[in-house]
Amino acid sequence: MVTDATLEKYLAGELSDAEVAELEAAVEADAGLEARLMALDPVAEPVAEAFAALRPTPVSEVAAAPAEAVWRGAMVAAVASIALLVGLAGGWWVAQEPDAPKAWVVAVADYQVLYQPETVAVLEPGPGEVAAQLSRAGAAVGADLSVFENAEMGGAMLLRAQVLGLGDRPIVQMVYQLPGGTPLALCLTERGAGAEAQDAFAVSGLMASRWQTEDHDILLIGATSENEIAALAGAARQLTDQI
Amino acid sequence: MFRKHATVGVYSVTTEKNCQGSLDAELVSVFPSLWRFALSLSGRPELADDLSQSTSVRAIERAHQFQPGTNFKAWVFTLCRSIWLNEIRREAIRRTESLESVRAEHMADRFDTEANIFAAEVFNGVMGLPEAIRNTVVLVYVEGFTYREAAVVLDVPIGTVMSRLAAARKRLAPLADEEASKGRVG
Repeated sequence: MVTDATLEKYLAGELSDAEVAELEAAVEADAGLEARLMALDPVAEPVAEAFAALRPTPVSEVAAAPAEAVWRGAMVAAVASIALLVGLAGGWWVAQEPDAPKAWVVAVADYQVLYQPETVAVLEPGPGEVAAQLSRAGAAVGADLSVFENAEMGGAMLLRAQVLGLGDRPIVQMVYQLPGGTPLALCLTERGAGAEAQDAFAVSGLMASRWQTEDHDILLIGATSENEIAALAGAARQLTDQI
Repeated sequence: MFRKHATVGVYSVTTEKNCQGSLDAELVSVFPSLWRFALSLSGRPELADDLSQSTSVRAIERAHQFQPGTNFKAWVFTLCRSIWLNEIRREAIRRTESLESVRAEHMADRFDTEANIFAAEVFNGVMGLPEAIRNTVVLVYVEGFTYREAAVVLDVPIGTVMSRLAAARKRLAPLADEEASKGRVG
């Protein structure tokens, strides 16, 4: 029977070479002894705590990053699966996000990054369809969104309005197509404490702009340049000021 | 492949394997661990990004090789180590990139060194270890692998795992002792 005192001497480096060899052979043969030894290791806890303070790169950022290295071919082959990872990562990353007001922004970004020009190219809303969608979506967040129907917003065309959600928090997503075919989303949710405005910032590989009205927190997001998102946000703000 | 549902504008995944969806979810859930292990191998966050990305791609490609009921995290880590040794490390060396390990104070965006002074010291201590010892430490102390599980991932005898940990303890135990004595004083 190997005592805890012997295990502690081993961990402290106080056994002879022969005793070390004997103990290590015993550990190799006995998983229970291995568990006891691991539990007594004085270095395990501080190391675990040190790495708990480290914030890994979120999967959404890694998956959205351009593949510029030797594995480009493999990346292309599996891009569809990685894109799914980005979507799944939304929930994980939101759970990690320490700043709760930003959580919905990250969740939306992780969803929006899946939108491709082909995604919106097939959206052809029938007469009155967008108006009905805006009415339903507005009801979910307590806003009259009719101002967005047929409104000019930097040349972007409104194709759909739908209600998404993060937990019990409804989020309206208005899907636009820019003149070059790039998807853009104007998203809106009820304003929470700590909401902050940012003219242009990068999130999940997209550019975004964020501002607030008295009752709502608003996010404009798409695969555009910093200048273009700022210009589009200026146009969108003129509309959101009216809701 | 992706199949678009035009009516709702979202995507679903169609694969030959019914288990693909759960594998992707598993991959997302182990990703923070995978990134930490990738950091322990490469020593640098930008290489850890590349390595964890590449490992994720490889895991998806080889999903059919994973045996349900076995240790998924260990399987992914084994892929990760293989990619590091056979591809990324070799390529980084070919490009004569520095493989000097990062320190906590150079990772201000992901490590609050002022709030975690002791944690930063320990982190720097681990990252300053030789690569083989460093990744053994992370597997066992951080990711909770048993010695024998770590031995499988690292493809070494269990005795090698124990000797690497013994070497790590010599370097790290003074830090742990220092903190323990502060705790006793406090």
